[in-house]
Amino acid sequence: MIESIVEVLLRVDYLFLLATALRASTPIVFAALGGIFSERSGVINIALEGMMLISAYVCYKAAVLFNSPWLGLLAGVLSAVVLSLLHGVISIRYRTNQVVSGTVLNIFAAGITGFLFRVLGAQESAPYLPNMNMPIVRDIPLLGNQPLLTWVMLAMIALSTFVLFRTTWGLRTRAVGELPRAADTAGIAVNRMRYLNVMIGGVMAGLGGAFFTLHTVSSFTPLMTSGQGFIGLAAMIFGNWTPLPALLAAMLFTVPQALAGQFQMFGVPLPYQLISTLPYVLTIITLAGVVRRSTPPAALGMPYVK
Amino acid sequence: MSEPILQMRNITKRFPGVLANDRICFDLKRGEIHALLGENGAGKTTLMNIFYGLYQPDEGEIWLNGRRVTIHSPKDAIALGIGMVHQHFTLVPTLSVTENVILGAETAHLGVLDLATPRQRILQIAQDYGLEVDPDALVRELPVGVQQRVEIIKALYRNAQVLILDEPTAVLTPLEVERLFETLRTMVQRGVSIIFISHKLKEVMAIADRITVLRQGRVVGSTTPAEADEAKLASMMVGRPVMLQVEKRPAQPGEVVLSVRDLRVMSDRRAVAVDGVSFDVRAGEIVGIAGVEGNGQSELVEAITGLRAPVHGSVLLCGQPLPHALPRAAIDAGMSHIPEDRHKYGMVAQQPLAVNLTLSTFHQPPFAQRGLLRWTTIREHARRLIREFDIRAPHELVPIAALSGGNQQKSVVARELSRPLRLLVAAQPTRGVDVGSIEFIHKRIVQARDEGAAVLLVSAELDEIMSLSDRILVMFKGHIVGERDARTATREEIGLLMMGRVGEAHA
Amino acid sequence: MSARRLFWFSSALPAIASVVLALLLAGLVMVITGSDPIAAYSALVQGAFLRPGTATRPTAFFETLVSATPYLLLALGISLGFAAGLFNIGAEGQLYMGALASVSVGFLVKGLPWFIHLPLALAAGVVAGTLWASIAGWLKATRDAPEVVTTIMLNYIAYAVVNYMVNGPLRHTGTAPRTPDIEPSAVLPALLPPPERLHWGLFLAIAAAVGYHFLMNRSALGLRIRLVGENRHAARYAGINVNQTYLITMALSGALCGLAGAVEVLALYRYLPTEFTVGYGFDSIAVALLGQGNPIGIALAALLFGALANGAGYMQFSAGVSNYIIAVVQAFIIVFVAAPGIARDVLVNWWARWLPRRARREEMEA
Repeated sequence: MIESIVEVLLRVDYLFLLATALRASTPIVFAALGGIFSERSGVINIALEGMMLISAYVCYKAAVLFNSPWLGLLAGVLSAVVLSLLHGVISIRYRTNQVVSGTVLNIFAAGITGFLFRVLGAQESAPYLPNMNMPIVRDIPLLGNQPLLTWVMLAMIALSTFVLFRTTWGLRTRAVGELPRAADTAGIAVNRMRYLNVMIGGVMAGLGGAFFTLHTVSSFTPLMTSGQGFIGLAAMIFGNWTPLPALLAAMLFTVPQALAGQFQMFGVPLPYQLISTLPYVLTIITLAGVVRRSTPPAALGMPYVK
Repeated sequence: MSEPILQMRNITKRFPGVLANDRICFDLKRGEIHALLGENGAGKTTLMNIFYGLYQPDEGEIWLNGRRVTIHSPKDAIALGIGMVHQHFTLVPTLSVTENVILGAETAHLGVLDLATPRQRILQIAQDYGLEVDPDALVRELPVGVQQRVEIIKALYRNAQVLILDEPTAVLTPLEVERLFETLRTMVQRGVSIIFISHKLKEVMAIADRITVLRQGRVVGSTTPAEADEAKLASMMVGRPVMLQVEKRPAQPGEVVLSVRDLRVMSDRRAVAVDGVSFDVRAGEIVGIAGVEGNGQSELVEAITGLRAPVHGSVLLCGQPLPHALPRAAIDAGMSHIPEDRHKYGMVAQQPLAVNLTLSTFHQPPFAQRGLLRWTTIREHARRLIREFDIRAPHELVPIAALSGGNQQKSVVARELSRPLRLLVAAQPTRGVDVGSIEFIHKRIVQARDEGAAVLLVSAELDEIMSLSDRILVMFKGHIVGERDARTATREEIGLLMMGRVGEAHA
Repeated sequence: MSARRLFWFSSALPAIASVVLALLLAGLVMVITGSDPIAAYSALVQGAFLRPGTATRPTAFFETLVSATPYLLLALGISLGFAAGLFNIGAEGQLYMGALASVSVGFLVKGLPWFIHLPLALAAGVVAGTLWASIAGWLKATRDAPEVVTTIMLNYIAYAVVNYMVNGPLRHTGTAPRTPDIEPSAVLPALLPPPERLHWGLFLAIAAAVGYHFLMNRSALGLRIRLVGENRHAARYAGINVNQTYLITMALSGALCGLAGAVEVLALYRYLPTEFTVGYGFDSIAVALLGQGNPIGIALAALLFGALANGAGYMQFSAGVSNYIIAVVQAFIIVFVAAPGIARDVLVNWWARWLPRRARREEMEA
């Protein structure tokens, strides 16, 4: 057993492994970015999972309907934004506990997509978004031939970092999430900032959801996001609410899984059901290790009341 | 003194169950310092929050520079040239001074922040008004006195013509107060008009050109420092003659009850907050810890009461070391604790008063038997304390959140004093409560001392420390920098120690 | 306002309004998708409450009680967590682990009399649920790990573990991936002869609700849990061991969820399939929210959800509306329950439009 493990470790194509992990990290990172915007402004966002799920479904359905992955993507992102707006209304306007609101919206999304899936069916396969396989581009190590959304994800990491730490928007967002009273007395509309950041979270989750139906498989199955929104939240915490470290955290979950895939490919007998739990187990272990050392935005979870 | 820059006419503001402002008229002339005097809950802050756009008045008009204005939000107020330094600072700890100053008034090119230009202006303002500050420092690393300067710079950066200061001296040492007053006079000379909110008579007498006194949401009268004296202002403020001094007999210290030995405690920000502190408190004496807030007093109290684990040192109660970070052990050993943050620690807001009065004892006899609660006993106990401590509540089952601040605090005091008591740790015991409750709480603390308890009093109010304590320790940057006998100590001397100027405050 | 009226206005009325609004909205969805909501809802009521039993078909109302039983147990467990400020989203996983343990004891242990074997199998489910929830409780208490995320992760792990066991070590010899049948001595018996399925689990659930009431309102532990839930800082200040309370609450919550899993498999399935009751754990979060921490409220909410689940089949059969519309109804219910303000504002707006009209009419009549 140990010999075969060593043998596999020697034979693994590590660049391929990293590329696989990067691809698998895509929806996780989108969820983490969505969480970062939302939580930096002070709103806990457990609903990212549900936003991804609803986007995955709408992407699929719209892409089939219009026979265009692009219109599918647009519709999917819009649906996630609508759900994020609902999260804003429930938790900002009505000041419901943000975790309750998020949980409720996850159940909501599961219920609605489940219903639509059964009523409207999902037999046709949806048109794919392209992979980055143009000449020259496809030969870039690690990035070549990756799904378009993986590139978008990497671009979003750069953009998010810039917006959060170099722009007026970012300064105000951080102020609203740390000490909303300070922002309010400085003439900033606290709740407006929060709504908009939660909706940016919706855009991110929408992109993440699209990855499931417009790249991975061209069809929808109920609950197909399988907890990746939550893993994204763990990546966000691990990355201390900053974009690039969140990607590294996501890789922490996906690299071992990709490695396990390699083991299976080389015929090392591992029970696949248990291997599939790897990201979940790693997420738990990570959370147990890092939460005490992380510093969430100070006003996280607290509705702003004058 | 010239025409009024600001007139507030018949301002009325109601909150559920409270008439916070009742037809208040108030005016401010150009280039004057007009003090708004009143005790906690008199409606001063509400009035100014209306002026700053944080609240909307139910009735009344605001006239600024001869024009009627409606101020919907702080944004409007800022645009009209109004600046406010709030009692609780509105600075984001994780941002730099420059970022805090420009927040909401950023200069940006295509959304990209420009920090260099504002930085220069901040340095200029700092120089003009004598408000030294490092524009690149993170706010959380600055002492409160400097943070206040940042707040003032924030207002000046926005070209404030009217500046409201809400209880600005609460966080300052006597010398820093002097320095603030100088800054204020400079600002007045440069044409800024100032509204100075305070409940401290001495300061109002020292700085104000005019004084308007509020009581229970109404204007009681206006006067000038030349026409009034402290006793007159005090009775205007409270509506009856006030005992300015606490009556108490000389202490008769017994054996040592609390020993703190070489205590070292970290803050939430993982910085050293208490550094090698040792002292004793004896039965039958009140030891006061003076100091500007943020010099480690909160962490010291939390370490003593078991809310925070010290990294080094020990706390002994009657010679027995207390286990670290175990409030239960401290309670069982006879320690009571009036916490500085009543809302966070002192009460569970939505629970009935009766539960809050047995918060730390409900699980043991006579309130519970074999794990089951005895509601009749809990309620009887509550009714007794309500009578004994004069808590104004309709009955013992109302949520404690429904009571006034003073009555909430009296409930906390009642609960803590109703247990068998060896040591009372009272942190800011009268913060935010009315004068009647202050007098009552002071009396009960002295009574606890006379009955043989050791009392550790921590307060940012120097007057409270001076009048209640038998012995005074001064804390500065995590150290005890001096100890004085309360009968012989002077305000000036304690004030110097609070700034760490040990050499000048000769013993 | 008296306490009773306050309760009525702050708790009961919004919950009822939420249900009514959700049914209306789902009706709208039916109209849009081309079905007749009136026919659907009357079929739903028929299928949930009114249809009598026959020689082969159990009585509708009893079946509703059968469906309500796990909802009640799970929602009590989840509500217990809520009281301490804990979000046990892992009811589903605890249910799975409880079922797995009960079934294992049910078919692996042989030769015991029923009065030992049955309690043993039930206890195994309770213990498994407790332990599974305690992982999250322990991580919360000692490492501050957010239980919302860890319990979700534990759900996925529980699915995988059950899947693995049922396909591997515990697989029976037949074609379908499932465990062997449990011994008759481990079966939680039915209350009535077949085809009725109503079983003793209902009484276990009702007993749990009564126990919940006593715990929360009469015991020191219950008060302690509530204090931690409402203000953990003040609780710690008052000498309460907050972390220990988290651990205890999570364990109790998991015990109830594990019991729900045990009851389902020991009374109904009598073996463990790969996938059973998917979503019960999540629906029960909705039940708990609707019940608002009050055991009677939780019981009524469980009954409602049981009725929806049970009536849906007949609704599909007789009115041609997909039974998954129930998921939509549930989804709307919890959105309104989560933000009672929405329901209130919507209703107030309707009233506001309707009242002046009525006032004008009365004026004209006068």
